[in-house]
Amino acid sequence: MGERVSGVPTFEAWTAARVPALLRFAVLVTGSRAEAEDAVQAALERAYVRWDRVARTEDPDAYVRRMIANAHVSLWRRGRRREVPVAEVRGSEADPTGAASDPMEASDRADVVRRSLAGLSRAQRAAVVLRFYEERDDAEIAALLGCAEATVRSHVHRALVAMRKELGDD
Amino acid sequence: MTEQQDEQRFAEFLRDGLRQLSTEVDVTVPVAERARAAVVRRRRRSLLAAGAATAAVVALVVAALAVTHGADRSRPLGPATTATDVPTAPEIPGGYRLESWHSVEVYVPVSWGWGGAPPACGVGPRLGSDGHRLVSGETVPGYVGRPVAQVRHCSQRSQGTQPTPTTPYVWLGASLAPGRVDLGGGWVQETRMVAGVTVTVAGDDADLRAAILRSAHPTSTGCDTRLAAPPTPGGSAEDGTFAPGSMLVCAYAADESAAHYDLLYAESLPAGAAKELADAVVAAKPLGEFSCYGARGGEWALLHLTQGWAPDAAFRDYVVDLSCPSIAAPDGTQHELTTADVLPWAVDGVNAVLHAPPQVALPGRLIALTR
Repeated sequence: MGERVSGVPTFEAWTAARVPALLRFAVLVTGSRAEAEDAVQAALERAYVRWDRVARTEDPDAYVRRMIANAHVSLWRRGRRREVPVAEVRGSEADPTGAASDPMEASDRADVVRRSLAGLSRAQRAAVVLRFYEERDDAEIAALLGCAEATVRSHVHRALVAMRKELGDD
Repeated sequence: MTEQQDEQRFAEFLRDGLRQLSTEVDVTVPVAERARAAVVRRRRRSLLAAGAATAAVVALVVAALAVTHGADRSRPLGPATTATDVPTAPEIPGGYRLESWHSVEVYVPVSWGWGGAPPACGVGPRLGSDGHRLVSGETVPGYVGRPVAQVRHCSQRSQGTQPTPTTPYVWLGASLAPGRVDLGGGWVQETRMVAGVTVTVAGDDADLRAAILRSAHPTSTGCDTRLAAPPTPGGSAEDGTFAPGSMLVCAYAADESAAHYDLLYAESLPAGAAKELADAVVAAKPLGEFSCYGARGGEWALLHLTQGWAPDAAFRDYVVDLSCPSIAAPDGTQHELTTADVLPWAVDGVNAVLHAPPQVALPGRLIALTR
C-alpha cells in the first residue's frame, strides 16, 4: 500500500496532503469536532482498504468527501441526532451583510455563522457547506449527497431562510 | 438595495464566516494513522475470528488487546483457548483481502494474484494482484486458485500433473481430501473442509498458512452464495436521480444440470466503476426481437449498485448473462453486452472466474475462450 504504482499517489502521500482540508470540511459539515474526526477516519478506512482502485478509478478527494457527507446525512435520515448547540443568535452585534475588516469582527462573524448553522438540519447544513464553502454547484452537491438537484436547491433555500430568520435579517 | 444584491451580500457573509470557521479547526489530528491502524486491527481480528468457533469471541477481544499493546507476533500458533494463548496473523505489507467461493470466504495477502485449482487444467497463477494477465516470466508472491480457469478447454494430458509448487497458494473448492501433505523443502499443503467447501493452503510459511486456514469462514459478502435460478434485475431508482455510491459484483456459474448457481467470486467496487456501468448500459443498444430472457445455465454476474451507504439506500441490480450475451437493466430491458458494459466490473479476480463471450472484445479481461 505504500508503493507508488504508475503515477498513482500512495495513501500516505495523499492523506498527508489532503487530511487538513478534509478535517476542515468535516467540522463544518458536522459542527462537531468529535463527529468530524470519526467521519474522516471512517471514510479513510474505507478508502485505505481499496486504495489502489480508488486512486486509479476516481478522484480520491471526492470519494472521501462523499462518504463524509453521506455518513453525516445518513445519521440524520435514521433519526440518530446527536447533541447540537441551540442557535440563539438574535441580537448579535455582528453585521450579517457588512464586510469585516479586523480579526475581532471576523471572529464575531464566524461565531454568528457557527451558531446559525447549528439550527439547520443535517442535510441543510451539508448543502450549505458544500455550496458556500466548497463552492460546488447543484449537480455536484446532489451527487455527493445522493439526492436530486431539486432537493439540493430546496435544502439551500430553506437553510438560508432559516439562517436569516435566526439572524433577524429577514 | 435590490433583493438580489441583498442575497449576494448574505452569501458573502456566509462564505467569510465559513472560511473563518475552517481556520479554527485543529488539522493535526492523526486521523489517517488511526484509520490505517483500525483497518489492520480489523483484518487481524477477522483472521482470528474464524478459528475455533467456541473461541472466536475470546479471540476477537484478546486480538484487539494484543494489537493495541504490541503483542509478540512470533508466538507459536495453536488453538485459541485462553486469553493469553491467542495466535495472531503475520503482519504483511498491505494486509489481507477477502476472497469468496461458494459458501466460504478466506483472507489472503492483498499482494497475491489469482489462478486455477484442481481439477481445472492451468493450475497456477494467471493474474497479478491488480487483475492483469501475467506475462511469461512474471511472478506473484502467491495466488488464489479456483477450479474454473480454462476447465472447458483443458486437455486430459494436463490433468493430474500438478507441478511442485514454487508459489504459495490458496485453493478454494479443489477436489482434494482434507489432510496435510508434505511437499518437501519446507513446503506443506493443508486442506480443511469449511462451510462445506475445501480450503487448501500451501506454502513454506507456517504462520501464514495457519492464519489463512483459521480465517476461512461462511460467506458474508452480501452476495447470495447459491441461487435456484439466474439472478434477476431490479431496483426502483429513476433515471436522473440515481447516483451510485458503490457496486457489489457477484459472479455465478450454473452446475451441469442448471439446478443451481453457485457464487464464484464477490467484490465491492467504488462509485466510479458503478457510474461507468450505469452510463454504459444507457448507451448500449436494447436487444430487439432476439432475447435470452428466461435463459438458464452458463455464467452470470449480478451487479448490485447502491446509492449512499445507508441500509435503506436506493439500489439497482443489473444482470449480465455471459452466454447470451446481454446485460439486463433494473427495469428488465436487455441491452447488448459491449466492451463498455463489461470493463467497469471485469476487474481483479473476476477475470479468473468468468469466461469472456467471443462476441465481445475484452482484451486482457475475463478468461478468453479458445476456439
